[in-house]
Amino acid sequence: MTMLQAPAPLPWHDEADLLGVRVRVFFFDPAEADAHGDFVARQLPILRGSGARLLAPEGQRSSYQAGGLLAQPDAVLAHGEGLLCLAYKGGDGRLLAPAQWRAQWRVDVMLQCIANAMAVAGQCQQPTAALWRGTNLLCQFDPGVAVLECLATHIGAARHYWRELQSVSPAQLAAFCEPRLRALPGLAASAGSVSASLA
Amino acid sequence: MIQVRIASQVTAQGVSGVRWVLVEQVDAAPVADAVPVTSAVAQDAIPAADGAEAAETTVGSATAGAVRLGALKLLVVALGLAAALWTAHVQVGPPGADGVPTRSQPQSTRDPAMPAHAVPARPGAVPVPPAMPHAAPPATSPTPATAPDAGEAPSPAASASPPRLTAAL
Repeated sequence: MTMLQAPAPLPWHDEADLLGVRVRVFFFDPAEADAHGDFVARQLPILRGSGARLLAPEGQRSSYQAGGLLAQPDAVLAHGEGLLCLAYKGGDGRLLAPAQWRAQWRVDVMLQCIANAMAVAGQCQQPTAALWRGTNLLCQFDPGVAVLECLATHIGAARHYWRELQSVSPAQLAAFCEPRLRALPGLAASAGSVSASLA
Repeated sequence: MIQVRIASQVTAQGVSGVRWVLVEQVDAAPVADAVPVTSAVAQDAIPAADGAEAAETTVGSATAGAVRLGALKLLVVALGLAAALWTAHVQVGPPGADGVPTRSQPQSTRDPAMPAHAVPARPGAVPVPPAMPHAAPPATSPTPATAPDAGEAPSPAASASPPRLTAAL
């Protein structure tokens, strides 16, 4: 009789709760990572050597739709029994210091990545992880129930707000939901800590 | 409803710790009659919280908002004016009750047969006759006629019928 062993966690360098999302970060040397020819080793250094593979050729962005949410993530990878939804073209290209990455955090980018993953998961009907690759760090987002519910239940309202006939983009949905998430009492502490560190 | 499963953990072998949520289906009917405005906002050029709130105010009709605000201001001013008039009416009395000619009822157009204080200032108050120079008691009188300790009560007839102004005129 064999017992199921829990998979070994990845060597994340830090993690924090930011606006209801558990954020895990992995810092790397951008010069070393960018020198790799393999896409996974270059964009997902923490998963170097794993079995993750791109679903579409590199640089080709496919559309994924779940309800009224239409996304075009930068890359979608198959990884085990699930998918990885990766964004690496957003952000401002700044290097984030390991000691101060919370102060330099961008909530809008985080919510866009989660919305991207929701669209991919809804269309492919597979569990999908939301990832963002910055200049020198890789992030994995684990959204809480409040964040997921807020994003999922405000798609129609965001479509009306942006006067879109068919669908909204993850950026539009994130911009619509961010002030509502900041107003939630349970998430005010984490949002306040980000604002305080920014000040 | 569409089921959406978001993985909470990423391992070297795959993903685990699934959280799921239901996403509402597309309902294009409510926006079919909306103004077909194509959003020119790119995916990475969306303003965040403050920009969204500011844009929300500009989406609605600005003219209707201005008209509504103006009507609200007028209503507040009218209510304040009415409250002030009512307070003055209760505490002071109607205009012209103190003998001062009002703008709407000048002295020249007033009915000479109507005494100035024919209407009491308060309900139940005794009308006070206007001061008449020829009817005033002499300054050398030891006790005024209206003094409470004068010893003699005013006659009921005198107190019941005030002197007529038309007699002096």
